[in-house]
Amino acid sequence: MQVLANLVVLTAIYALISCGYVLIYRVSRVLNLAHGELMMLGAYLLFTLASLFKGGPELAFAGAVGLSLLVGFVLYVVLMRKMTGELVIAAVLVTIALGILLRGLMVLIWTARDLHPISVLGWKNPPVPLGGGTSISSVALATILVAVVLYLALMLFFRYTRWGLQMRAVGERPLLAAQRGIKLHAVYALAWALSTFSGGLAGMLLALDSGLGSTMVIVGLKAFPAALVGGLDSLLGAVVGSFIVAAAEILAIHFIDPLISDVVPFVVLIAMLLVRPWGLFGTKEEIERV
Amino acid sequence: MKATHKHLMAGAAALALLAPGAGQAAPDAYMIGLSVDITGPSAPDSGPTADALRIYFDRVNAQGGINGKPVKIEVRDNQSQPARAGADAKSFASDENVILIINSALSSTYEPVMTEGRRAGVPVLFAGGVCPKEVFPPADPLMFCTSSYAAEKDTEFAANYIHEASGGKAILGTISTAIPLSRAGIEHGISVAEKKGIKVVAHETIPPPTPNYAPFATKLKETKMDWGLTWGPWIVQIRIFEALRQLGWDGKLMAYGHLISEDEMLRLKDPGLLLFRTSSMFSDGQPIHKEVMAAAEGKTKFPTTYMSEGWVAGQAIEAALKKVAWPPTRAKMQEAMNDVTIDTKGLRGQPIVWTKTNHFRTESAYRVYAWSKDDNKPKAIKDWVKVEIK
Amino acid sequence: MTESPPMLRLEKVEVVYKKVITAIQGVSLDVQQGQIVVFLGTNGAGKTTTLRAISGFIGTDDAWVTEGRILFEGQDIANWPPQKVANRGIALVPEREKIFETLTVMDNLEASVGAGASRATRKRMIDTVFDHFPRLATAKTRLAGYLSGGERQMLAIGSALLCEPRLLLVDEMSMGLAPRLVEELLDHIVTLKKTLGLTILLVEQSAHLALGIADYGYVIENGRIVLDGTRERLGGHKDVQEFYLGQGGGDARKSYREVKQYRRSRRWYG
Repeated sequence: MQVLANLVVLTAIYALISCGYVLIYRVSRVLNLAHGELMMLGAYLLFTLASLFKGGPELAFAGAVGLSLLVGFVLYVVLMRKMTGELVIAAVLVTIALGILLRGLMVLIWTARDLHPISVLGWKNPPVPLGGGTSISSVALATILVAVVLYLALMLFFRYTRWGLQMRAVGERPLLAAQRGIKLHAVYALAWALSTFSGGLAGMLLALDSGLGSTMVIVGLKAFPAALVGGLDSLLGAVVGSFIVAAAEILAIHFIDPLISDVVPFVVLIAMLLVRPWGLFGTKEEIERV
Repeated sequence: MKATHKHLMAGAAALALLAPGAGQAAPDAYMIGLSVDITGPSAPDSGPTADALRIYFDRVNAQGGINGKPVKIEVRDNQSQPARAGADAKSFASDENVILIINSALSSTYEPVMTEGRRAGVPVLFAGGVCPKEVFPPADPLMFCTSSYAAEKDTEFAANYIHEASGGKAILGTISTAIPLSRAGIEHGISVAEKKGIKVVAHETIPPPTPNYAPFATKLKETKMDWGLTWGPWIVQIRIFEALRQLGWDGKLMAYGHLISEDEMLRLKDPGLLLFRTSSMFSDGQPIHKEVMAAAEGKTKFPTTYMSEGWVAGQAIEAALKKVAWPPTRAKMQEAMNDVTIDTKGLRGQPIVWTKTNHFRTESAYRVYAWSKDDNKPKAIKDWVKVEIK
Repeated sequence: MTESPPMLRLEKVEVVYKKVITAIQGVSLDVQQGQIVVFLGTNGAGKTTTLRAISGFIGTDDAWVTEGRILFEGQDIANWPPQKVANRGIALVPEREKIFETLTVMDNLEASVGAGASRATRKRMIDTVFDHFPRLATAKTRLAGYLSGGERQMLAIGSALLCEPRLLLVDEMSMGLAPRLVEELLDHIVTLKKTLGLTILLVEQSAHLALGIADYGYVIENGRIVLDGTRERLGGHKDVQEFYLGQGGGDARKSYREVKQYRRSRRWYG
């Protein structure tokens, strides 16, 4: 039972993180390798706002979420916009450089020592009993809820809104989309904003549950196999991929050796790359071209 | 691609700002080179050590320096990258005036720094990180270390304490991380515990960066352990503890007390978290603690309780420099360090004594701290226990 | 000059790919308002490049108009990005990648309606497209990737119309379609011109159908305009008859492949 609860929690965490990879990849075929750093930035923003608005934790949280959205938008406008139309690999390299820069800056500003936004916010994280001796932390429960709401909202957004439709169109054929008058830059900026928004949320929830430190970047990378296994351009794929990777990891911890849980996601990834390189729900043709 | 270069350069420029004090060597000062991880993975440990050294020697210099001469430290950020650390050491070694190189970073940076140190005959001090085996008897003539932890010595003490505190009845689960030193330390602790007749039910090795510790804690809790022993990076030690508590585990965990641990104890206020350490806690309120806190106040972004390691390194360097008559040379510095007693004024349980063959310390002392509900602060529940290092 | 200024005028336009490859050079042409102009040329002659120069390049093309002007209603639009050109009133129906295959027919159309249009306006505009192409209306919910060649072309034209263009550029509409379908589509083009008052620039490789509806035509070879004139003049020209209409010297019609073969040999050995 507890194992099952852990599985759901880990799936939600991975899904929340990999969502950001998928959003940007889906519209621009760019892998944002600074996603881990951007998650961390979101968490640090929460910490700082929490310190500033001592009395209003909800305000601080909302502010940090809003700022995360803004970060992606600004990043696109000042940095990634110049890369539109360049080779995808060049854009990916820029995200790597961005990650290095962000890591350095965050250490300079926040020192990289372990911080606990939840204490500053004055919130508690008591266990929530699920019956049968099973329990998960309150933040873990919130993570599951946020992941579910976020994915539902995004799926509805892609399906039923004009912006979502334009994002799908740009994702498939940017040139044709431009020729139909769709504003490419606006669509890309929105994708970046949504990506840092979801990544920031993931970072904040992780930080609330278990603290905020320099290892969050690596946690961000660990969710990468989940996104790849599902197929980088599919939201549904990201959820399924997250579940598969989380399940492999938890089974390894429980029945083999916790030590190998670190490599299990990558083993799953390699297996997937051999059998179906474009992922479970990915677009075949796109990956093959790379 | 142009943009890539531009931004890489912006990053490099930002990092270059981190190396203050770089410039012409002033011959009228004791020159020390510090290669430290300020923006890399070990920054949470190395950063405060660098800050403490700076604060320490600013104070020494303000009070007239050592033997009438100021101490000047040139700082370089190595981001815990071996190549960078090696380049730092090489550049320090090429400056004749530098008589000591300090390294504070992940242990992967040690080898290139030691190589440069040996080539140029410059003593190397490791501070704030783990101590390399070269400083233990029989010590390498040029390698020294002030760091408080020593994996196997630490876990041996901890296992003995668990035996004593549980009356030998502990059901022990152990947790290490996927770092060789941590696993070796815990394996040694297990063998000590088992020799004493303690039942060891688990040894789980956890990869440090993991998004959720509940799965690991679930497995540990199922072993019905009532005592835990862990020695590794703080983040793993504390997160596994918190995850166990989330699952309703009510046992006691012995964890190594890093710099950060005092701050964390204040956050958790959990009497079941026992910290073993060779450094005293600032909540003891000894004169030295007040002195360090007063000196560091407002001069570092870290809590002042993080200053302990760097401060002890400063004390060690000051003690050695006092014996280095002007004009200083590397040989004089090495000779001084080979025979020195460092009074830590209570920051450690014992003075640090370096001899020709032992550059770690001849004696260590351990204390166990736990949160005291009555006093509403951390309190030593086991006073200094001396351990000889041979 | 008795004519009014042309709606679109290319003045000695030169396009360079990857900073070194000159694709077209000194291309000048006029498109008068309300006309159907056909642009003839063989494979690789520079037709598509010319159209793309008008409709705009994006970064991945690594192409620029390096010389000359492209005047649309008097304004130089050379090197404008495609979305700006589209919003200015020029829509392109590309030869390849002309529809969004992962979207339904309806979504393809929805995505092409200009921003800011209200729900009612969008519906009205899309209904107009369905009036023109009733076959699309019956395939509303189908994924565009599963449409037949003719339906794709209709969808592509329909989507382009939703950008509310005054000038419609159509690239190689007949490519890969049965002659009867091409005729049907050309009829649509004529109807569109009449009912919407559109000006149309048609690019074709094989001219015997396209020339039939054109008011004026240009022939491009090796990146240069080599011939232009009214339908009557071009249709009567010997070279055009031979290479684009496949009516060589009273013989049976030459197939496209044969004509191409002939051209090649002429270029290399002649």
